[in-house]
Amino acid sequence: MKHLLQALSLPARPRTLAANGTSGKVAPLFRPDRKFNRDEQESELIVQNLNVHIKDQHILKNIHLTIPDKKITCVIGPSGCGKSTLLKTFNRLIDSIEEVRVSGKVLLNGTDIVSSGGSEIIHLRRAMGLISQKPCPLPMSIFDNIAYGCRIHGIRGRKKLRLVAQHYLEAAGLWEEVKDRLNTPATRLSIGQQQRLCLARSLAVEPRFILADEATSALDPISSKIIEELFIKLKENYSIVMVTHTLRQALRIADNVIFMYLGEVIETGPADKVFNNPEHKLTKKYLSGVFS
Amino acid sequence: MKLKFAEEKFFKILMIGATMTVLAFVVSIIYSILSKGWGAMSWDMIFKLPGGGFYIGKEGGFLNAIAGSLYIVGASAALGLLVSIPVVFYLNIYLKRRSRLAYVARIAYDVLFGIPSIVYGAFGFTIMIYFGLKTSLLGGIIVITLLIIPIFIRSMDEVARQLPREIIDASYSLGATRLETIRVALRQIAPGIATATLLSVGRAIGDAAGVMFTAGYTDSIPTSLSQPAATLPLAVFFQLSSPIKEVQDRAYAAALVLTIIVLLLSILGRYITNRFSKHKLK
Repeated sequence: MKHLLQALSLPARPRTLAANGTSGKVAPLFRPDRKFNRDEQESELIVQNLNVHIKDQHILKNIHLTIPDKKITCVIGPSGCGKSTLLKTFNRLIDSIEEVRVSGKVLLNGTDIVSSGGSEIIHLRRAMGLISQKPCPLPMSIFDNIAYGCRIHGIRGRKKLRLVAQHYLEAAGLWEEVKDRLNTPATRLSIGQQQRLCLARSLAVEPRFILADEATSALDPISSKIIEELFIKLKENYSIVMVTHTLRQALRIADNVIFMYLGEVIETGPADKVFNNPEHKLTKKYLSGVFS
Repeated sequence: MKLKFAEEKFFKILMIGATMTVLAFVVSIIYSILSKGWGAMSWDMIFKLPGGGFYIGKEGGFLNAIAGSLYIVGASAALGLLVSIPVVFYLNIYLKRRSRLAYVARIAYDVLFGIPSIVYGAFGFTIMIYFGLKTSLLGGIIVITLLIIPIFIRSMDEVARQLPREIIDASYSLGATRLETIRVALRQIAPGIATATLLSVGRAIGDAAGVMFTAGYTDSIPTSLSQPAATLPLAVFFQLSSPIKEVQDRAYAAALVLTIIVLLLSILGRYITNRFSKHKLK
């Protein structure tokens, strides 16, 4: 069986580094794997017949989905429809929910996420960067917030880590604002800055996917705009799955849309089609604001 | 409207009254220790061992008790932390929120918390007799460690339960293992650990009953774990029961030293807490 561990292995040099070429000094961050070079492979996420029960409740019902590579996929739907649970299944944070049962398959490059265990989960979570609704910096300095993830994956040396930190803080558009105070506590940043820090922190462990769970809903309009613009930039290199409550936001940035209602996927497809020409009655109603 | 205002005023006065009562209590204790102990206080008291006629009012000091107390408290605080930090993280990070084991364990620690120290002393004494051990520094350290472990665990547990789920999830989603996540959590609850240590040390240094049977009392400073050790609370106790006025005053001097040590420790504790809470997520 192909192990997730291998399937998720990282490229010879971080793509972002190679892509914008800020500095060749940082690369290679993680040890390359000859067999599975991420750059050569489409990393689609395929969900097959996914069912999630929490206690007696059927939260996700027979989900079939394909989440394309290097696109922004927005998951929309009224609250309580299972959007966040879907995201949590992707990075297995669902494990910490009590009395949860998951069945079905979520395939990443042919490897099943649902049935993986042990150290595979660690690699999986690294491949799935999570941006949560409320920014949650770790209780350490700005620098350490970025360095933490790299350190746990075996990158040492302050000089190297500093370059990594600079690179990803630049990628998240935060470098200019924090470069003189890298050692101050991350909690002193404004909430919008904290969210960008969380983004930089996730990027620093070289994920393939970015899972954003209403990542802008706690932010002011300007900060959310910055995050949106970052996402559009980042989709060159990452696949982004974004849960959002704001239809307008989905309109602005989505390439693909998944509409969920009461634990079921009602409609899915390119954003153009779903927004302008929805097939399903429920989707029409939701888009026209009959319910939210 | 008038009634509401009167009510507000009444309860405000009540609160001020209660606060003042507690303050007055603290001040009067310190005053009585100071007024009785200050006269007997001298550098000799702190830096000398009891001489030949110390307990009838002649020369010497109670350095033996100060040293014994510090040994026991230092060692048992370290041992206590070593045992209780893993327990707290096991309860809060490894076990699920509604785990039965965690529930039973928490009740057990509450029960242990409530057991009087004389019972710990008696328990330690029984075990020492069973193994044919004499009163010793080691016995005192073990019993005091047992005594403060529940305090450590319960006070740290309260803080650890407030640990934001998001921090743990954030760490997990970077691909951290549970052990690595604990290191992050440790930073968040560091102030809680400092407070717990303070509470435990305060209790440990002031406890007389636990060490009475287990550490014993001696006029010298123990040089090995198997020798008996004197402690400040027992120094107070023994000297206070003397009929001689000078010796009684020395009891107050010993109490004064005890109070000053506790005071210094809490100032140090506050300082450390503030340093540690720099990065804490509010």
